[in-house]
Amino acid sequence: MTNRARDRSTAALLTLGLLLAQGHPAIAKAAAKATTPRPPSPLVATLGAELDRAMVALAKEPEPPYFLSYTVFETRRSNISTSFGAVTDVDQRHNRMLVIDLRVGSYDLDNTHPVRGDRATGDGGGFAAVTLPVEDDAAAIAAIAWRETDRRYQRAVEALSRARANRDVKVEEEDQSADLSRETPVVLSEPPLDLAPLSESWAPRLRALSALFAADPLVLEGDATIDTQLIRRTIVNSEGTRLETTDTSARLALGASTRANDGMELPRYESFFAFSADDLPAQAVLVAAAERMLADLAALRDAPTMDPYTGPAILTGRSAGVFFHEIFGHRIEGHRQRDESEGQTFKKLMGESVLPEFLSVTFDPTQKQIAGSFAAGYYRFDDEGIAARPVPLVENGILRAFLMSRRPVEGFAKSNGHGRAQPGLMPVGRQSNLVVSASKALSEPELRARLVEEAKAQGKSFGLILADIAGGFTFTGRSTPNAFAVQPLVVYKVFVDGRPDELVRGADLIGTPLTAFSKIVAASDAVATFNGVCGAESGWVPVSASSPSLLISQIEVQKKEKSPERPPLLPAPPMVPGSKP
Amino acid sequence: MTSRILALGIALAAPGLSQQTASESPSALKVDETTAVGGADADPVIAATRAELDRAVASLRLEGRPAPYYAGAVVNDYSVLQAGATRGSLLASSNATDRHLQLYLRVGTEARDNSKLLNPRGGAAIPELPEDDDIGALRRALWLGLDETYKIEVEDYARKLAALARQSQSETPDLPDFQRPRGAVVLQPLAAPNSEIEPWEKLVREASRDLPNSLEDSEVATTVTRRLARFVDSDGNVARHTKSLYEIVARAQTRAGDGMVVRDYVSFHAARPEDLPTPEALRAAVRELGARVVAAAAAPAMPEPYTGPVLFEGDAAAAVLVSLVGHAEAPAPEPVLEDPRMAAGVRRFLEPSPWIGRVGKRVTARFFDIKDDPTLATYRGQALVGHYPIDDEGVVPVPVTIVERGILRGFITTRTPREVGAPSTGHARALPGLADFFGCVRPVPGVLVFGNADGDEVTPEEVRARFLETLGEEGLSHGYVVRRVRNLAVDPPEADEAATLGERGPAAVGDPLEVVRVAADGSESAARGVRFSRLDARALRNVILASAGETGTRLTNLVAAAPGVRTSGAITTSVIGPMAVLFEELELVPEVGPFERPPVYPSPPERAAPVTKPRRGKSGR
Repeated sequence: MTNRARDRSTAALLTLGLLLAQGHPAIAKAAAKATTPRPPSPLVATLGAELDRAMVALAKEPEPPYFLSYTVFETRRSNISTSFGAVTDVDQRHNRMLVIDLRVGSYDLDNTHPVRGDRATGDGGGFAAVTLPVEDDAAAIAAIAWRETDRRYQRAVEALSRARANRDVKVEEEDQSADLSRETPVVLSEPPLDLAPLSESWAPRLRALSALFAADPLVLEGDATIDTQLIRRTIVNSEGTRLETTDTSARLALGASTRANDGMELPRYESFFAFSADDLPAQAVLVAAAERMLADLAALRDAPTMDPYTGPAILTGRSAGVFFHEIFGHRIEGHRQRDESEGQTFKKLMGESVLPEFLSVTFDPTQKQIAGSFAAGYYRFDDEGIAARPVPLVENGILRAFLMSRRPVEGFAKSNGHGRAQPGLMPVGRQSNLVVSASKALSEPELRARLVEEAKAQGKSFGLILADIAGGFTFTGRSTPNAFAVQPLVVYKVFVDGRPDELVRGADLIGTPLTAFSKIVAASDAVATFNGVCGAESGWVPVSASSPSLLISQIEVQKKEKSPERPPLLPAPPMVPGSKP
Repeated sequence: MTSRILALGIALAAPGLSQQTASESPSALKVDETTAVGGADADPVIAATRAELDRAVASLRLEGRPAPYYAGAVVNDYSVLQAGATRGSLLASSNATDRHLQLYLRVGTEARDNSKLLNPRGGAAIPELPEDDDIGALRRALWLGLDETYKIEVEDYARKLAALARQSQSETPDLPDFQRPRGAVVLQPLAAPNSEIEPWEKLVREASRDLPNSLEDSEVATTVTRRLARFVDSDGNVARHTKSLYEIVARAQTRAGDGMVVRDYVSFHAARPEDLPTPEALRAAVRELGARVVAAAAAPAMPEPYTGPVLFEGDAAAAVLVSLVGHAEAPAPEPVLEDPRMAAGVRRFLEPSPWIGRVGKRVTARFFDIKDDPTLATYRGQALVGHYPIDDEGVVPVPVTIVERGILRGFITTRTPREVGAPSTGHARALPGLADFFGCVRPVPGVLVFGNADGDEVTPEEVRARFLETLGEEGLSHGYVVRRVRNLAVDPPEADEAATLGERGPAAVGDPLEVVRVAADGSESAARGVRFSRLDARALRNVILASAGETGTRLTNLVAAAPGVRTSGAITTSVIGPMAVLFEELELVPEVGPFERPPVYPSPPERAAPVTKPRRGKSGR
């Protein structure tokens, strides 16, 4: 991908806001990690002492802080990128970020309270992250914590005045919940781990994988990358929490794209997630995936384009997972239920039917594996130091809960361990491992037969199977239509007259949430997991979405955006055997 | 402050490696490069680049549209070590490599081609090149890059002709868009990769320990950049050379009692490690920095605007001269605008040289001779960071007389001519990310040499005496001496500062960092919050005196903001020039608030805990 193309796509993702990136399940075994209690580390001791000093010193001020939290994210990352058989980038990073959450006022009303009518909502935007030394030098760390705490304090006092004034001059708030929930502190230290350097074998393995894409001269991008990460997170707060956790992840991604003669860009992605690079799939599995991608791209290039369509469709497991993540998951994030600019699709539906009776939805960050796949939304404690727990959101179609951070909403005064954020942003209620389950399930052939029946009943000549997707996005605010879009990569027409299935390209799935849910008519017994990273107002967090395949009686497809660029004018240069280092 | 370590990014420099082969003249006949260069075809990057450039010129065609007549590429292999520390503790360190490609493809003819068009689409994309020397993979990336570039340039060419047809002709009608000197061949051997990072980590860790905890921010950072540059074009020019830059920057920031931010830094730039200060000398400079910032914070703020003589001493003398002359001597090509309403914005961003149209006229004090001579490799035993053997358009540089006895004689140039028939002076230096503004490379200063036209020996003390005399003549009770000026390429503006910089004159002149108020009797007191009012190259006309000769001249190696670009794009420049410069009249104004409150509660006690065993992050393969 060119730099510019990457910039463009990144910008697009950020603009879209709520999005689940591409990903794939891994097939490997899990290894349970011990969380044995240990004595606090030097970092905890340093931060704890400086936090106490700040609370005592600032207690003398007219507006003393009632809550102060220091969170340190120590990240070690290792990455290798290759393209068409050659290494394009090798990167290793190690850094520490300190995030300060300082609150003045009270649990009921503090400086983070949204200021209505302002574009910036409260003091949440001031959650700045600063760089800390990567060495445990008490004096250096304390000095940086002091400087940032003082800055945060001064801003917090100003923000609180604004929040109080805003509350007094505007109409009464619809949701008068407190600004911070009262929670029990946690004292726990997981053992520290070291991120093993990526083994020497990875560069040749990735070169070999991305070289496969050079076999097709019309494939314009052909990449294979690996990215491993270790995050040691330390949370120290004025309520007494002293928490140290270690999380690891490994992602291997294959990406290739081609261009149809009409200019349409046709990408395919496959990604594999595990908690350690050693647990990623064997090379043979990866080679098979790359070869499947090549075959798909060649077929897609010649495939006919899809015209706008309404009718029945099957979303296969991973597509259905993304569909739920976008359309349902983002709308049951707790903080949206008190934000008066949000659509709040489900706010008044607590205890009522929101999905067909045969469907249940749980968010379970305590699961490391789901249906045989590693699940990227696994954690033991969220970014506010609250213990993870399974949250049954929908039971037999009935809405039971929201995804809660420490920002309460009406009827939900406590967190349920879903306060998540990328380092530097204010945690809000976010998704973890989304699991859709069906009490009535058909086999995959039976579901396909139901699709054909549905199409016939609607007088259609075909139904659709959305076999793979790139991702999607949704709007949840009131100022825009509450619509969603899911971008399928591989779509088949299934004809009612028994003709062979036909691969088509250029179809985007669109719709609105409540209508879409009312049209889910059946589910299969085959569950698949999609691993990815999800972006929203608190940044990018790893998530997964598992679902059986779903039959939807009516979906709408619109034409996909098309590039005006022609394919290359000259043929590809020869790949020179033996020129590799 | 860590973000700044990374933002220091990639700066280029020239160590004094010898040229193996070079044609005598940039306009020499095209040579048979396979025999003349010898090793060029054995270099997989040069071989792959040449194959695709040749294929592009020979075969890239769109029916009814002009073919490419020229293709060139710069491939830069960067090896960058970075380490930063605060208060004796490592913030981050890295040892990274990167390969960066810049493509130039011209369609039409030399007389009129696609270049210089500024349109809202910007230039072509830059493909990511593999870091492996894999000819097949390199050619594939170049193939796609050239294909995309060609399609964009064909469209740009048509749009440029349309824009020119619609607008009244402001440019010289006969001035060609491009000139094609051929036959330059410079091929240096491949240099060894960067050394280990551990000694650099130790250096910054120890140096940063001496800054007091009470400072709000402090950091000592080092960046060691090795740039292996390859230039290849479809005319047979080829170059491969290596440049290194060793950079150490120590920064300190605190707040005065009224909340005004007081910041300062010291920086060292060298082309060879042996030209850097010793660790002991570095620690001494850092301690001095800490003391200076603390003292400045306690000094009274400048009470009122000042107009009168201003003396620049030491670092500030070189900094102000390179800012003013570097900007004036290197005019950017005049862009062709599709939308004339963009003109004001372009001028704000790329401030035109105040010397345009003044060749043959006086532009500085009459005693100044100024040359730009990148062929100089050393001065008094020190290597010059502004030296390079060949520029980024494949032209061997020549010394250029800029000013003679105060009269402007010429400009440094590139292959984009400023005058009919005037060849490139070999000053095209591509800045990563900035080079393709209008499809042409910008001229950038190399080694600026200031001389006294009368051959006088003038010591810094004589300049200072003259300063005091002038104060007396003007009847002023005091004047100001500027000892250090903020270099925006070393200490880039914060986001909230960037917006106001445009109001205060050309790009590269940063605010004074260290200023002393000098009474007519010569006694000094520290001053705080002193800012330049409008300051550009026109001020060089009212320089009264500058030190010169053996005792009055010194070398300053530095990185500077690219000429005419306000905030980004660092380039290496060496200044051989005066240690003291006296301006007859400059305007200085006080910095105005509102300022944030100073800290509400006191800093933690000074160092207590011992430093633990360091952990480090480093990469390589």
